[in-house]
Amino acid sequence: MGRVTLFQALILALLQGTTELFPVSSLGHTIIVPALFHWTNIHRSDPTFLPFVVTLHLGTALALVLFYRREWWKIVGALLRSVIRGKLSDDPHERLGWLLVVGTIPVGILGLLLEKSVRALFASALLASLFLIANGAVMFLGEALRRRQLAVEHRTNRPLTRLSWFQAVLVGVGQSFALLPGISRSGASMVTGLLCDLDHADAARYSFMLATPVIIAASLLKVPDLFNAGAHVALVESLIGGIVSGIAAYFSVAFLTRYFRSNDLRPFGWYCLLLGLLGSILAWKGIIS
Amino acid sequence: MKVLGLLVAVLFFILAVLSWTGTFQSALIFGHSPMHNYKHTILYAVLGVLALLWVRFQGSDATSSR
Repeated sequence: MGRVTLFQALILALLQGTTELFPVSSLGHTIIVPALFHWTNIHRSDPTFLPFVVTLHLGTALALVLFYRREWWKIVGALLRSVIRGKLSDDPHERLGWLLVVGTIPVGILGLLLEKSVRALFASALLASLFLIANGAVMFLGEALRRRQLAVEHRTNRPLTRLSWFQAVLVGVGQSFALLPGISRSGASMVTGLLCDLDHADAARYSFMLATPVIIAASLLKVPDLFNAGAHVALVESLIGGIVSGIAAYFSVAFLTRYFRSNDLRPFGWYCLLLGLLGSILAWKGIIS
Repeated sequence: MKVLGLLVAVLFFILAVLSWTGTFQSALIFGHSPMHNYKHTILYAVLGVLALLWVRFQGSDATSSR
């Protein structure tokens, strides 16, 4: 078993940077794609792979922070002011900040307690492919339910800052399903956001902002593992991977925020269904594992 | 509610300390290696801080009810 090559690092970084934010499951892709190319030298438990994964995630998180830098600046300031005051005000940035804190709690708890067990149970190409199909189906179902809410129940879109605390928790719980390989973090949280009366643009914005602290925390929590015996840093591959992943993530979030102003999740649903179906057939035939 | 919030905060901080010292190994309950202890310690500490923040906002007339 060898370490990741520079070519593989570039492909995986591009894949991570884009699929982390597109609602198509990065974890599912990083299981299916290496299996598809028969990259047998790559194993998630390899000591050189962990630092690589950490830098890819940090690159993605940094891109998200940079993209929403003005908003984060205002949010952090508003949160600090409200804590000092001990009161909540009508400041929309303060409200959004607390909605992000509340929404992060479910994935923080479930992620820390269950991540390893869930991923150990479901880390196979067949299961990742099946969950990718489920991810696609959830996006179609979410879109259909949202259209029904608007047309039949005559519900209207609500601004992001009018989300209730309970709805923020629901979106956080939705995001937690991304612990399953093949289920997309942004897809799951966007569908939950849509069903809580957000429009696509606000559901995407809340989803991306909610993902930022989670990705940063998940990466930072892995840093102590780098100092374990046997961990060897593939420095060049990790650094280049982190930069490429960050650039890919920045362009992805820029594209998606524009895309969701006037489009929906269905094209990504089709993509997940087709890739999941292809992966399932290949895994079932024993071509990938 | 303030008292309840304080109790919850204290409980989480105790769990954080016990988890840090290895007395309470919740990592094993969830099938993790003891190496995960520090992650659970951080989780309990963060939940303790959040409980304290909740207490901070209790009893304030301007607390939003949205």
